[in-house]
Amino acid sequence: MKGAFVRRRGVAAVLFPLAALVGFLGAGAAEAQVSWQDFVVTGGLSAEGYQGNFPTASAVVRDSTELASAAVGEVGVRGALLWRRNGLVRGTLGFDGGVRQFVARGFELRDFAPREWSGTAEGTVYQPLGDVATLSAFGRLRARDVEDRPPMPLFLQPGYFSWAAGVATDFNLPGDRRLDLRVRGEQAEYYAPALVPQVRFLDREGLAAQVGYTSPLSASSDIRLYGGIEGSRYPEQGTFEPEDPFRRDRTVSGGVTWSHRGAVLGQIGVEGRANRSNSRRPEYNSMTVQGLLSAPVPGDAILSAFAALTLKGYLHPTPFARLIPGEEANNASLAYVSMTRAVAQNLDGAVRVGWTRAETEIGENYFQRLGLSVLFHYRPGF
Amino acid sequence: MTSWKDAPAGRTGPRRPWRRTRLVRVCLMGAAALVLGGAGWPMAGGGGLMAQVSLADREVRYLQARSAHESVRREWEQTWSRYELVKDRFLETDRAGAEREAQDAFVAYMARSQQLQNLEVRERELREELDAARREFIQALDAREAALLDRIEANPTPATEALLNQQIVDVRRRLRDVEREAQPLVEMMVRTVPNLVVDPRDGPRELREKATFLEDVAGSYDAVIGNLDRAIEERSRRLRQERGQADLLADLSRFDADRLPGTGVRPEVPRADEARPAGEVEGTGAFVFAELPLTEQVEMLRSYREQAVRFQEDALARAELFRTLAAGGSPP
Repeated sequence: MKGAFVRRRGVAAVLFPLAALVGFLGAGAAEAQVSWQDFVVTGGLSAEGYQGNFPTASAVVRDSTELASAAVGEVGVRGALLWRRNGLVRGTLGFDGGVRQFVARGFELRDFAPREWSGTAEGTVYQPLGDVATLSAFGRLRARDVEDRPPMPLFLQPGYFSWAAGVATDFNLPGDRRLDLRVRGEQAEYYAPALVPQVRFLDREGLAAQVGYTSPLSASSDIRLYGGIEGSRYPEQGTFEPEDPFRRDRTVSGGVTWSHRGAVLGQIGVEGRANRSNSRRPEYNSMTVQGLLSAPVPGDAILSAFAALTLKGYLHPTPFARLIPGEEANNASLAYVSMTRAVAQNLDGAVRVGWTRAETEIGENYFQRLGLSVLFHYRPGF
Repeated sequence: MTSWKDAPAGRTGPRRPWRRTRLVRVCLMGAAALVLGGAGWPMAGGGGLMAQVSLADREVRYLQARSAHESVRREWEQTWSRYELVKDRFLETDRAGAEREAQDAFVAYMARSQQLQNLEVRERELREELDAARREFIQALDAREAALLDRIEANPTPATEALLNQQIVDVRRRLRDVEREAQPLVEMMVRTVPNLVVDPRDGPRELREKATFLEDVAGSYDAVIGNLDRAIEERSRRLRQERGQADLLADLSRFDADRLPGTGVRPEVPRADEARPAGEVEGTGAFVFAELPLTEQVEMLRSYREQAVRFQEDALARAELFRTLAAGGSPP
């Protein structure tokens, strides 16, 4: 088991060396062909309400309340550097990290004050192959930790440390079309609190391949069709079969995404997934529909919205809880709407409403969250 | 993959029900043509002679508009050269104290200045016409490309397919050339303020004429500043849109709020097109302005605007000085 110090060290280990490297590169950006693509400091406050009795294996205790609320403060920093050579982008280096502090009310046991830490570092390098194609390779580290984890209904994703790496090739086809091939490997190791060792069941290793085809529909829109296959292994989940002791999944997915870049930026996508396993319980078919929108509105403001819905059906109904109670929902939805406006030089203010819901057929358990946030995004402009 | 087919040669499997009757297909295509034609969208699935006539007609209109615009620009450049000559002549004769010649040169200068202003107004009108013709031509090129793609998907022979591919490449190259021609900054020439000085022999009339001259120069910067303001506003709005979207997605993914709880699914959120490079004009080392990142475009336009505003303020300040002197006052 990993202690809190070690977990936070995972986040720091991701961010601090990267921040030093970014600072070094950024200081010399004027001389080298390195420039900031973006650098944003985010801060804000939220009021959130939670409802539901969704069982989750990552909670240390269980509370009898059905309703809870929280005031949340958050701070985050993110940035990305572009490296250009001879006018072409040859690499990107990005980071994103932050902390969120909750003050929660409504629980029977006690008042909780969970704190979330997170950090991500990722880099990509590009190599043009003449005018025919572009080869790229990427790597990403991500860490997340939660202190004073509360019980339901205040659901927080469990903490983990993960890495991912992959290569991709984009082929330029006549008519401004593209064919892309992507291969990616990843590993995630979850932090299990002292009283909740079953969180380690979520540990996962995976290898995925995807092929996609993008075609323009007009000067301002295009469509991408894609299909993929993924193999996953859960080294902490047993199958009770001596010949094949650990859970292995194979997932086939396919989808289509339509993108529009006109006066309104929009994207709509549909993806279907079929998951099969050497363990019967996690076999399912699912479909995810998601949409993204950004449009100017009167008052010199920008309206942005993001929504995703997943419907899931298990092949083999079982009377008992799924592999990890609360980690295998039947359907889940989220929707966010944000209104952004400049409030000062280099400073944008945003008011955001967010809603999340998940439910499982086991005992008709569900979880619902509604939040209102006021956030500020500061761009120093260097 | 080199073939446009997504199935082996020859259709296999059952036809889909909605394609069963030609009547249904014709009705659907006709309805689509009515709707899309009314909306001004390129008509996919049409093509043929009508589309080619439309493309040729729009190309002719675009070339005519471009020719007319270039003609006015050439005339402006020639007038500008003559304007500089008469301006220099006015300054020389004024310094030399040749009152009569300076007066004649000043009249010629004002005439050229008025001619330049008229040409600028005409240039703006023709540029708007050119932009409209360009947009229509681009729409026609899009429709042409869609028609070619439809023909490719109809399983042509290899020779025909190769020809269609080449035509698509040509259409896309033409499209890129037309889009690259739509650069606003080529016309952004910010004129410097002429270096007029007070001559000891200047009387009130001469001083007032010099003040009028400088006020006229200051007025000419209004059009430049207006154009720059429009270009900055358009790009700033798009930048705010992209940033609003990026901020929303980044804030959600930072704390895994975009992961649907209990499903293990994190939707494939789009990333900004950060890897899109600024295109380099072949052999020149110069970047195509329209392909620079929006932040750099806005920065360049703002620096041009600051320069234009400084020049305008300088011209007005000097005009004020000349008027003060003409009225018998003393400089501050």
